[in-house]
Amino acid sequence: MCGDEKKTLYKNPDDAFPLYVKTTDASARVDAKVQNQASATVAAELKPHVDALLFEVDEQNRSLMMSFRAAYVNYQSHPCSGQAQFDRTVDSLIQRQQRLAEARLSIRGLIALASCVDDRSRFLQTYQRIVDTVGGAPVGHAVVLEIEDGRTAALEWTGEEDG
Amino acid sequence: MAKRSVSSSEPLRRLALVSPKGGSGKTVLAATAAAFLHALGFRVLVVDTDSATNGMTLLFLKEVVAHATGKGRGKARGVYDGFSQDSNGKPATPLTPFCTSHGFDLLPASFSLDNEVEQTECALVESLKELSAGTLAYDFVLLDAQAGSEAQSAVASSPEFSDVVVVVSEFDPMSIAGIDRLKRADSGLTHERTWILFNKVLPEFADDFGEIFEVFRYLPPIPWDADVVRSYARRRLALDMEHGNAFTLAVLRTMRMLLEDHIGTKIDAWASRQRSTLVEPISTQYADAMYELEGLLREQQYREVRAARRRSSRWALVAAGISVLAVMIGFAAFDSYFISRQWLFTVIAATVPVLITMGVQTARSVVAGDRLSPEEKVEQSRIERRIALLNEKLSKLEALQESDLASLMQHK
Repeated sequence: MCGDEKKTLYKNPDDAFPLYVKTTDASARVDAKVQNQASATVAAELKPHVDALLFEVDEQNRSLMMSFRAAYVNYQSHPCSGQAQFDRTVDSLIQRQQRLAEARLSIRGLIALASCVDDRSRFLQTYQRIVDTVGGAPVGHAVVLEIEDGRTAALEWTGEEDG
Repeated sequence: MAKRSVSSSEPLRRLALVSPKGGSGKTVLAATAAAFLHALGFRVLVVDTDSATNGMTLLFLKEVVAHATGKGRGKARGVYDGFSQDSNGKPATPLTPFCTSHGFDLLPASFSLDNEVEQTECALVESLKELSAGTLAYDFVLLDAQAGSEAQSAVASSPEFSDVVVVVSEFDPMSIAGIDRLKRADSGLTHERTWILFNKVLPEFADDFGEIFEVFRYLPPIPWDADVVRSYARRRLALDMEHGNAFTLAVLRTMRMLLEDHIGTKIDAWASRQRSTLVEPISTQYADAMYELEGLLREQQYREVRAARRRSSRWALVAAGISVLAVMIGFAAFDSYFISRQWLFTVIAATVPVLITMGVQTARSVVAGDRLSPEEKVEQSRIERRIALLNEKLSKLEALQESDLASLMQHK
């Protein structure tokens, strides 16, 4: 009881997950499908970079569920005084989830781009933009791609692109 | 050097960034300073005068190549690009700075090494004189000079071509000795026009260094954290004028001290615009990150308790099973009234799967001991990674809180 208000607390935080958080598991299964699609269509040299993005998104999905659990565990300790903070945290988690959903869509677009259009600079641009959203381990992959791209420009600049 | 486009009583400022040795981060800092000044609304030109490495050109190489390709072969001219002369003895192709993706203009050392490149002191002097002729309109001109005390560096830092010289240096014994060397080699580096700026300083060192050279003035140091290195590795600037970060605030503090009379009003205007997005959300972000961290630590404890319970319940089950079996065997051994040997054999034969399961559980408990299952290990490392990320975020937010934006804005 919080004053006159009665609050229900779940003993197991997993039971308290709202539907939109539970869907993250389903999203991970969809990612596996996308990964298979990427294997079939993306050029071999770009595939590790796309896989890194998919892996990171999956990791962040799971981390999101963990963050929700953590927030709920906190809420269980202070159900009366912690309501406002808990609500804000859930809002911010939902925003994170939306960003990941957008990133997942962008990755599908990236895979489609890689398989349909032979335009490396557009691929790189899109890749870098997704990495800006996702962060984490793919940053290292973005650096590798940037270096490769820089070397191409350097060869053109030095007039050795044919050498 | 160039005419100003913005009507103001302030004079044009020409800044030369020099360094005692390579690797001080001078080029990245020059680009950052230019992007910062542009974000405040000034027109800025950066000139790559570094004939040894063409560092600034390399930083923006893709844009340089794209501009040269767009202009057509031999139509774009950088500082050291050779040129033909018209009948009046003037260059047939003018210097062609172009607008970078960061909003400031850049005149590269060379648009293509296929051009006749003449990386000499004379070529630099000619180009800088041509820029001074007044065909360009900028509020600030930044000369990215060559590291060390080469002739080109002396040209860029000479009073003829720069009003202010910033010696960018790392904070280590070799670099400090290098500043002594630079000072001796270049008599133009006087107290009135020379500043020392320690760059790439570890955030924890940033407040703890003394003034070493009495003959120079000092700018606040620029700390480099992991985010700055990550940005640099991706050929980006860590400047964030929208949300702010420790690096941006350090650049702001430095630029304010260096160019107070020229940019002070614009910094105040920017600060009052950004105050709501820079200062207030920091405390909210901090509270949220602390909340999540506390929850994760509780979750970690919860998992440990749950794993311990699971282990002990497994052992309890095994112990109960063994006890029941022992009692039954005891009774059967005496072929008692309650349990006959025949009955015991029948029961054992009928419960083989249960007994095997108990045996397996016992073996697992003995072998596994306190070890976590692979799934538990992955979860555990995920929690630890998140905790590490949150700790990193908290320390950055603490740095931003400590920087006290309000006092920073009023700094004179």
